[in-house]
Amino acid sequence: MIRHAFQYERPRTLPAAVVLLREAGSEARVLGGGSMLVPFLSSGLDRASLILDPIWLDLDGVHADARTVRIGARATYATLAASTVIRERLPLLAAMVADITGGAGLWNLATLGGAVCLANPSADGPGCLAALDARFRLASVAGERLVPAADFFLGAFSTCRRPDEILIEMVIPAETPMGRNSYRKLKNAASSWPIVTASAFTTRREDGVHIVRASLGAAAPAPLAGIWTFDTTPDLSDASAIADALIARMTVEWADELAGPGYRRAVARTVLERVLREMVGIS
Amino acid sequence: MAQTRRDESQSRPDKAGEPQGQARQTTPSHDHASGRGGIGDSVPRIDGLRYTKGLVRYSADLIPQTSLHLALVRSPHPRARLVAIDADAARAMEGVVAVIGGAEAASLCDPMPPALPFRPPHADRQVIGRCLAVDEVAYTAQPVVAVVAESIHQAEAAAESVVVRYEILDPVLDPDRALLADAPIVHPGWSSNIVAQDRIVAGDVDAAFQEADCVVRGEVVMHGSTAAPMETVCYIGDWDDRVGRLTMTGSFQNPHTTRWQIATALRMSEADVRVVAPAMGGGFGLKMAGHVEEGLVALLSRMLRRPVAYVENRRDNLLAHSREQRHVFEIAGMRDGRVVAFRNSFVADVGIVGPGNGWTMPMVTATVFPTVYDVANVEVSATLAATNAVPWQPIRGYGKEAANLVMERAIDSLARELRLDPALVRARNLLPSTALPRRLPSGLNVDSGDYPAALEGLKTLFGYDEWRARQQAARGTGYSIGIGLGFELTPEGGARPGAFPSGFETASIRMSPTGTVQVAIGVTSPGSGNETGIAQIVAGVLGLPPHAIRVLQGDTDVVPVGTGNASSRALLYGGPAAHLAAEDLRRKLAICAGNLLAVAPETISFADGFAIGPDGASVSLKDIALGVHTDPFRVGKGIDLPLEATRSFQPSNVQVVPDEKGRIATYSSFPYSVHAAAVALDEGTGVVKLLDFAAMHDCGVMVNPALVTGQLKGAIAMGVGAGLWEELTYTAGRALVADRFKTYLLPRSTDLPPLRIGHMCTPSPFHPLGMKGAGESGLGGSLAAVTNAVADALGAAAPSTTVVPATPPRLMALLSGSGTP
Repeated sequence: MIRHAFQYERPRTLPAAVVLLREAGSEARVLGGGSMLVPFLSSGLDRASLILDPIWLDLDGVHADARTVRIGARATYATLAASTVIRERLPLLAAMVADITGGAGLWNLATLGGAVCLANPSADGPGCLAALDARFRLASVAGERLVPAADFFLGAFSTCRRPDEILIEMVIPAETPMGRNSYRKLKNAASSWPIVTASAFTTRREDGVHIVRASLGAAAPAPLAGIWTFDTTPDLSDASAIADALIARMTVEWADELAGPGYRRAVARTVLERVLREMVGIS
Repeated sequence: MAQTRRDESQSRPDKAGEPQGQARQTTPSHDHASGRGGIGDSVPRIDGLRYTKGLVRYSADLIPQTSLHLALVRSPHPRARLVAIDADAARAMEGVVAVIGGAEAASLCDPMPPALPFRPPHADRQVIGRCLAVDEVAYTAQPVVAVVAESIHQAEAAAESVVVRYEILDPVLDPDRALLADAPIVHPGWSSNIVAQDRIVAGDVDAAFQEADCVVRGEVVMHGSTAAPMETVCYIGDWDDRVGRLTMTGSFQNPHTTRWQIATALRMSEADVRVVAPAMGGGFGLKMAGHVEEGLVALLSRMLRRPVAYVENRRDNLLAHSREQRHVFEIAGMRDGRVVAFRNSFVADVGIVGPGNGWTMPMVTATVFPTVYDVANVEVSATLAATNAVPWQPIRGYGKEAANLVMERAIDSLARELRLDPALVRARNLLPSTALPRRLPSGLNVDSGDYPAALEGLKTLFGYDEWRARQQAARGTGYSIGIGLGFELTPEGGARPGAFPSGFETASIRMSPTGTVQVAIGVTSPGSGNETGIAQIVAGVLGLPPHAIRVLQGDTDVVPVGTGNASSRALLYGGPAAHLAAEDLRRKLAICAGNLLAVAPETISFADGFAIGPDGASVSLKDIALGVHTDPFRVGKGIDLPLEATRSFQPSNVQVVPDEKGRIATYSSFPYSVHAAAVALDEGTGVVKLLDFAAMHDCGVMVNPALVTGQLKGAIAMGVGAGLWEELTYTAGRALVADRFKTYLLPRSTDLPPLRIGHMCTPSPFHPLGMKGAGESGLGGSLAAVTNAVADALGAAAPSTTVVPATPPRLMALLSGSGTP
């Protein structure tokens, strides 16, 4: 049970919200769906002094223009799963969302924005968003900043978001149509969290160059992502080279209760190769 | 009155299309699968809709608004001396009513007595039964301080502020170390850490090993797992100060045992303690009597003269553990696959011995060998070691699952060594049905069965040969298919001398003046639906529909003394007790009906709520009941009033006098099952997917096949989980790591294929209704089948040591050759 009293605020405007966060200091928490924060509070692992519920800040939607898809920080997995824009323009993200377990009770409350701010390495969101080259719009009394994934995810349970900042939205480039893509995650069993995730997709620039973006998630404290260009359609040897490159960057292995030291290192390449093979059309 | 009765009898609706004469001649007690709701019919659960609609009240739903709430300060150390407790800050916090340590509690109550006391020469051994630790803590998470407050939030907040100073002592965390001569003794006053030992021998084992063509040695290492019921433990103490009486409401699998233990600890008369067990959200043994929190809640309510509630959180629920057993086996066989000898030695790490009887499970393990096989030469050695770990809580399988797992691994290991099909090796060694009844080396007398037919039936049901072909076809794909078989022999109906209560169950039936039938019975339901089965048995005897029978369970003020829920006894023992009581009531009703219809009582039959004479004239049971109560001189002439009967059932297939080898037999019933699993092992990741599962099961006569099937499927899911995913993990200092369902991985529906079930029926010759226990069985066989399937999928990479559960990291270590898991 929650053992301490805290301030709970539902500001009506973003300026009011960021003022509250600045005043609260380091023990301020922004509530997403609460699927992690509430258990943390209940088990005494989190001593939040302020819980800011951004329910009135209009952060629930998915918006798109010619160049980007913007996902509000409060958009639930159910919202993402129902989004035609995401299905059509970001099928990789749609595949990731479709694989989120937990049932309707979770999908209807839990948010991708909350998951990325928690930055649990053993999660679906960070790796997939890193592959998608997502940028994270953060707001504070000092203004807004747009941070690329590589700078946003600093490590296990660590992002560049300061306690006085609130995530507004995730901005994902979507100018060119997404080509072949694949998302997979390795789990011990259905109720396991992701042990390793892999994401990959191709696009083709106007000049004909093939672009591959790929990431390895949950294997290291922060997702490992990269971009590769090819003059011709990427093939199996290209996939292998991409896997080599990402695995080489896995200098620190993430380990947790479900997969101790050595396991992720032993299986990461397999998971990654399966995704890359699917991406190049060999499954 | 007479006129009215005749009118009603004339208006009795006849069932369309049902030959009246035949229906009347049917003896309800043998009315198997008649469609009328008696024995053999899959009657829908009487209270099923109430559960489905959320109308059932579980214990925590019954916490009074005025109740205080209990939070516990638990020891962070496995073994330590209590130096000081500083609770001043906690006492000053808002809502806090009391903060109590072990010394104060010990001045007000005694330790809870052990549910199964030690016998000579260890009869003076004390268990750790105090509700709060005094002087020393003996295991991590042992309750040290109780904090009671107006709300659970306040209680937990105050508990956090209690400061306990400990002097850390050298803990014994490893069972092998516990058995060394110089190991610290974990129970004060004991002379060693050996809790119990057993050695069971049959035949000339050494000679048989020498003469065998082939000997295979292996180990089975089981890590801790738990029942993980959806409803955690909940106790509500409600002391009535005016009458000096305590009511305990909660998740009690053994209400009468709990009443005795609490009354003893609190130095009260049992008559002043009432234990009520409302609807339960799963028990599986975890809620059997003997949690120290039971006595603590009782004490606090009496002390504070207010209701006190304890609702366990999930983390504390996952402290309950068992199954930490390490087995070394040797199996000796001939080239044709015949097993000539089997040897098994094991050490069980039972932690601390508390008031519960979880620690006795490995003793049962030892008694089950060599399960369903005809092995003349058997040697089993069991050692139970005490360590500074949480006391074992009982769990479904009760040690039998370990015996079946080890036996089945041994059979598969031999088959592999001999390059014979595992199904063939089993077929070569199964006891034929004509060999039963037969005593196991432990003295248990196996009742009946047809193991070869079960194996053949399973092979067909599962498609064994087709799966072997698919296994071949999958080679080289990166996904190795493994096929595993698992036989399970499940001794049921435990009747251990010295335990309370022991080998009997009692039912009281009564018919009210308006004709309502109530059956008060000493067995309880953990949510399994056994009340429907009991109602069916009674309904069949009385010619009533099952929903007309009200079954009362789980209230020591209302029901006869009984065991509650354990060892599949609700229907196995409670069923015949209810049957006997119903037959007594029927005899009374027949006399009354004879009085009214002017016919001989023995010519009366019962159907559809009517007593029917030989000429078709009938009288309703409602009218008989009213007549007995309002016109007893005429209607009730010749019977003992009132319309009630109390009868007990005691099993016959139990031996409490030691035989020539000094062995007693405390289980009366031997259901069995054989399981087949097909798994796909991802060679690149070690992840196992269960592709297919089938089981043949025989518990003799089934009262309600749908309920039996449901229980069996649940047991299979638990066995698969225990084999593949469920593991209680700890830090080196024995602090729990797997403390929630994200780290203790239960199977989800998407992890399981449709479970295909077949039933056989070889009635028990020792049971009046031909029944064997149902409800517990199925776990060991499914655990063995998935474990064997994983080993089969590993092929050459399978080690001689089988570690359970077979988690992906363990399997990946084997696949990559990077060492032992």
